[in-house]
Amino acid sequence: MSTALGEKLRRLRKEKGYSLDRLAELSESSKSYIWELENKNPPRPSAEKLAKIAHQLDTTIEYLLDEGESLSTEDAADAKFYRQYRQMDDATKAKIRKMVKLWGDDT
Amino acid sequence: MSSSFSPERWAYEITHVLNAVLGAEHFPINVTAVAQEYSAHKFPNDPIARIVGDNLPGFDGALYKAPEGKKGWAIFYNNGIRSTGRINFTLGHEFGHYLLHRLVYPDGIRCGEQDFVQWDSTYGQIEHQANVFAANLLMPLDDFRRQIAPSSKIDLDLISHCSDRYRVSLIAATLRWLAYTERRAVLVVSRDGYILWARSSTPALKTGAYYRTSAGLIAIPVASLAAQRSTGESRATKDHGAGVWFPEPLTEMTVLSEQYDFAISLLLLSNDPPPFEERLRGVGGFPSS
Repeated sequence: MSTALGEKLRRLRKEKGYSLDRLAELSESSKSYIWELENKNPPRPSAEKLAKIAHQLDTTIEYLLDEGESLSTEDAADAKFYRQYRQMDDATKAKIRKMVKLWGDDT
Repeated sequence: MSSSFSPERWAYEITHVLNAVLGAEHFPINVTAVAQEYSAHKFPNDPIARIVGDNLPGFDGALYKAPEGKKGWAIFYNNGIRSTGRINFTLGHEFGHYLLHRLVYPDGIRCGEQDFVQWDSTYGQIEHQANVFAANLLMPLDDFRRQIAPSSKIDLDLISHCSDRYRVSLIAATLRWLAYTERRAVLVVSRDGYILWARSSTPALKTGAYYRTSAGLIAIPVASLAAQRSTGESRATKDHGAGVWFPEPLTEMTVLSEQYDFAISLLLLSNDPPPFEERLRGVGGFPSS
């Protein structure tokens, strides 16, 4: 499955207009390694390789690995089971809370 | 006891009601109407009280418990995605969670965006069950088999006909067909030159035509349609000799999906597979190598 890391890498790479081959060459990594970072879920990505990739994409390893704000208790109450640990952006979360609230306000 | 019905059984129960009320020609299924009316009738004290779509990036759908003072459940879903087929499947999936899992997960269930593609991965039993329910509800097997007989050859037009008829994605319709066909066929979904996941029909699996993506990265053949760079949506069919995809000739039908940024390839093999020894000698080697 793709992860937050994978999605960020892919988006940044596309914004740069780099192919997998090109980014692999620039970051002294292999094409297949970057593909796996983007599309699979390698358990412990190499910090050294990731730092080189981040550098080529004009970003930081902290940004790439940041999973977003941690799960709040409010979220946990919303839904106990997660199909996937995928962070929704705050705007989406806020919208859903509003949808629930509107429902509660209806008479 | 209905709470212990299997996903297939629930879907069958509802199909039965729809056949009785609307007649056999009731496709595509309006999941919003069916979920609300069926749940109100079957579980009047605990129905699906509302189904609301909004533009919700990063989100597919969720089953929510009613807030204090309200009864029942709600399905919220993202209507900001372009694929009506996927929305339909998401609604079926959440309806499945309601029927199958709401008593076990009394606080609701939320689903992420990529899951639909991950039909068969290790997401866990309840996700699988909700998908099985959605597939059976939206594409009842008896009706599907009337569209494409188990022994029939297939092409993209036929699959498209089914995805239109049931208002599901091309992948959902193809997976449904692969589950019962007597033909040898392999579905390969790839991105940037490597296979994301693949699924074989039973006759293909039993004769060695499969890809094991869990065993490591598998590159798609350079000569394949799936490897062609293209912008926008495109679909094409090509006959390949032995050694391109598998050590035997086959027909590749590929749809490049700009929307999801991947290639969907359906590989159709002869129903007379080469003998095992010849497959061993095949130029392309074994698929998993």
